[in-house]
Amino acid sequence: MRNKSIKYINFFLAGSIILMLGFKVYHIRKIIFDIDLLKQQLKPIRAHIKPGSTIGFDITTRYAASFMVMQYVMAPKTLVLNSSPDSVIIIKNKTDSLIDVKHYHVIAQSIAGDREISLIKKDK
Amino acid sequence: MLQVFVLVFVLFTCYTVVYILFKRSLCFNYRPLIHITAILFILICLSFLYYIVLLTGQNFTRLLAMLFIVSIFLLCYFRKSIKATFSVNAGKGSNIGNLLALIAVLTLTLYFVFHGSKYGGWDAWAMWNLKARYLFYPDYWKNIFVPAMSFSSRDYPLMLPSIIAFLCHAVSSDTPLVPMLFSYVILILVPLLVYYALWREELYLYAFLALVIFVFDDSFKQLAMAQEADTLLSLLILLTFVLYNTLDSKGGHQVSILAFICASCAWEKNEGIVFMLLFSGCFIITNYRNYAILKNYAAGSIIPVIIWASFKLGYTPSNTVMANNATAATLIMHLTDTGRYLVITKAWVIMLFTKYLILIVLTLAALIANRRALLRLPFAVISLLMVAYFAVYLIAPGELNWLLSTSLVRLFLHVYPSLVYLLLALPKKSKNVLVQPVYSSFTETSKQTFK
Repeated sequence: MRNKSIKYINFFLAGSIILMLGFKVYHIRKIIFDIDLLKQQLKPIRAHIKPGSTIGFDITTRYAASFMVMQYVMAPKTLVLNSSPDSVIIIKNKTDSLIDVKHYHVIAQSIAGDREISLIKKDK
Repeated sequence: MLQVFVLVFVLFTCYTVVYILFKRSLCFNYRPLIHITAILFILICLSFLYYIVLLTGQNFTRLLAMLFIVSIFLLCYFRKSIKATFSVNAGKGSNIGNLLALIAVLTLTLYFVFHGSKYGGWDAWAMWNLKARYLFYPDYWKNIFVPAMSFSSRDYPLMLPSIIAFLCHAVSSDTPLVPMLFSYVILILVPLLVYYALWREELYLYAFLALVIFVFDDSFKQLAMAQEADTLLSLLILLTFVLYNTLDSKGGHQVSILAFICASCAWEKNEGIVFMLLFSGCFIITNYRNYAILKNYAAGSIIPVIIWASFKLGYTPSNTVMANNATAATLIMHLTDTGRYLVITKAWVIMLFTKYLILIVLTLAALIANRRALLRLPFAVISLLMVAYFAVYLIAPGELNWLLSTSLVRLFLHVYPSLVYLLLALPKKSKNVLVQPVYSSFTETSKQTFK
């Protein structure tokens, strides 16, 4: 009898664990992290870049740490810091003016909150 | 949706077959331990398979189709064994034992629910999960080796990223929930493996103590939930020692499985390579006259070594430690700098007393209770591993204090579960003919030489 009770308790505990995990998955999907915001913001820009291609990356000081995050979000497209390939992503404060890059033109732009992300491409 | 059903069928069939084979091959007939060994074995195999798919330019659908055909064949071949194996009650964990384990898992799950992070720690998204995202796209996976990715340790092996990429294919999305849930599985497997390994030895109180140690260790839980490769490596190292400690004279197949798990550590992290070399070296030295055992060991380690070698020789750039210490002058300068020795020693002592105090307590208890047992092979391997880690810090490039503050806690984690298990398992009277103190082997060798 005692064994049987323990068996039922075990089933109950196992069920609780599965429910807790379900709740965790449901809950964490609701939480929006900065990476999620960045993913949403980059959606229109990603459409202009072929998978596997290499893109330059330029940042203002406020977003200096975002290179790694951008690399993660953009994968499998690879970002290169401080270089000038055909396409460059520029991330800056909305109020700051876009840096003057000669022979490039803006292809796509995405603004969310204070952050403005632009994709610029070399003139042909 | 069809893909998910096929994958579940494939995984379930493979798991059942591996379980049956392990039940026949392993020296212990104890279900919980066989289950954990089978889970890890399958994860390692999936990682190898996915890597081979990437190398050969195939896609996931073809891999799944192949696995499906193999699963059908296996199911037909083992259909009688499946019923026979699962209808026998022998070796089943006791109800009270399982109750304690479930309470511990429930507590860990609660902690995970409240503190589990979606994207993990820095190393997780800047290295392991980033690589997994590249591996998810078979056409572009080689982008992980381009110079722009130098910050993500391009030379690190791919076990964790490839497992995550495989599981992401199962849900057809590179969602961050996969690495998050995978880290949860590893978080609960570590304490469970220690617990059931001790419970099997009838060290019930020590098994319970092990659970308490892990459940109340916030540092361990946070590291395990950080989605980094260190916890998986610590689990593999732990399993190697559990398999080693449970060997008996008829354990030929278990030696092969042990070698497979040990060699797979090299596919998990670069530190795993050091462990593999040290463990294999010590194992060969202690059994150098037993040709059958060595043959089984070589057979078991051959696949992981080939996979690892193909990656290291074919794709990766040189390691940062090697690359930046290319000149002998730099190396000598680092090795003769007494300041570095002091800084490292101080950091180690602080780390032990702040994060791993329980190891000091257990080691002192072991020294008082059974000093000679500390001369066994596992402790020799762990000691040598720590010496190797110390040496790496000595010659490592970059700012030493920063390096210590960012990595030391994770390096100790590699051996933490193993040490908890080994120290708590000391009261057990070993019947294992292969588990001999390291010194006895040397003594016998020297006697032979003098004769």
